[in-house]
Formats: sequence, C-alpha cells, structure tokens
Amino acid sequence: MSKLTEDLLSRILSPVDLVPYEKLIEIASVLQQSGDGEHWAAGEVIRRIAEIAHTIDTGRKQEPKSNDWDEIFTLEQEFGKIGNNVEFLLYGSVYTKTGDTAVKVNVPSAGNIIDMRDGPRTLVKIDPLDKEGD
Amino acid sequence: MTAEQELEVVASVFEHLLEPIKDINPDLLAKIADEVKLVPRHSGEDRWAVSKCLRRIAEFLEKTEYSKNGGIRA
Repeated sequence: MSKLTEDLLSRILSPVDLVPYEKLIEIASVLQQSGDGEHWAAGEVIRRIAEIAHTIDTGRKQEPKSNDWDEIFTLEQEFGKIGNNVEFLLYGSVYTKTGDTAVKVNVPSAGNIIDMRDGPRTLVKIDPLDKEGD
Repeated sequence: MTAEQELEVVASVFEHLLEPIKDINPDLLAKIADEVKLVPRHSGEDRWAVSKCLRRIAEFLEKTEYSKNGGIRA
C-alpha cells in the first residue's frame, strides 16, 4: 500500500463529487433491483460511495438529535471516552462528539473512524478505547 | 496519527468500497457502467458521473487484477 492508494480512491470518487446523495442512492437502488448479482454488487458500490461521501460532507453541519445523544451516552458507559471528544465504534458506525456537534458516520472496519474535526476528508484511526474514561 | 496510519485507513475505505465487486469481471463492470447511462428518471449528468465512477473502478480492477492479487494490501 502506498500514497497511490489515496490517489486512486480520490480518482474513483471524484466523478460523483457533485451528485446529491439521494440521487446516488436512487441509482444504486435501480441497479440493485435489476435481478442479478453483478448489478446488485455494482449498485452496492455506489451505495457505499454515497454513504461515505454524504456523511463526510454533511456530518459536521448536522445538529445532534436527541436520540443520537442518548445512544452516545449509552456507548460512553460501554466503551469509555477519550478526552473532550468522544469517539465510539459500534457495528460499523462511529459517533463523534465535538463541542455542540454530534455526527454518525459509517466506517469500513473496526478501529477506523472518519474524523470530522480537522476537515471533511481527514481520516484517522483510533486506538482501543479506554474503558476507564477520563 | 502517522502518515502510514492515515494511508492504512484510506486503504480500509478503499477495500470497503470494492468488496462487493471483488469477484466481478472488469469487462462486465464496464458494461454495467454503460448501462447506468440509460437509467431512467435521472439527469444525464448524474448518470454520467456514476457511470464514470464505475468505469474507473473497472479500469482499476483490470489494470491491477485486484481480486487475483488479494486486494490492495497484497
């Protein structure tokens, strides 16, 4: 793996930069309803691209919903917290809390999160959470 | 976070995106990409963008023989 990986990812995603999330999901759904595995798989790729791009682009602007916070606090009890920014990973979703903003983003694998604090495209990997908290 | 760790995360995202099509023939994926241009009820620009995205993935799969090589980490 190298910097080439990052460049490739950027190149693949760039055509759909300006396509609204809803449109990507609709097109993905059309493909996935085509009836064969190959079309379904291609649609799934578009769906995953949409989910990642959407959450990165809009996540920082979203106001927390009350049920999100409830879930965050539940997760705090289970996993502990890190400093002033609480970051959790559960079943492929990450919850970050930075100041007054809470977002939920989908992530590809355990241990990886998309950090919304330092810009929409900054990706970070967190260490195992300290159950003792701070 | 080190640069190496950041790249590791990017690779994870990349693999996550490609996982559904890892066993698909690149030629077939390119054909599906062309079909996307014909999806009804969407603007031409949106369909073109999605088609282009899939075509670039197909090109990548073909050039690298991605699935045969066991993914990006191989």
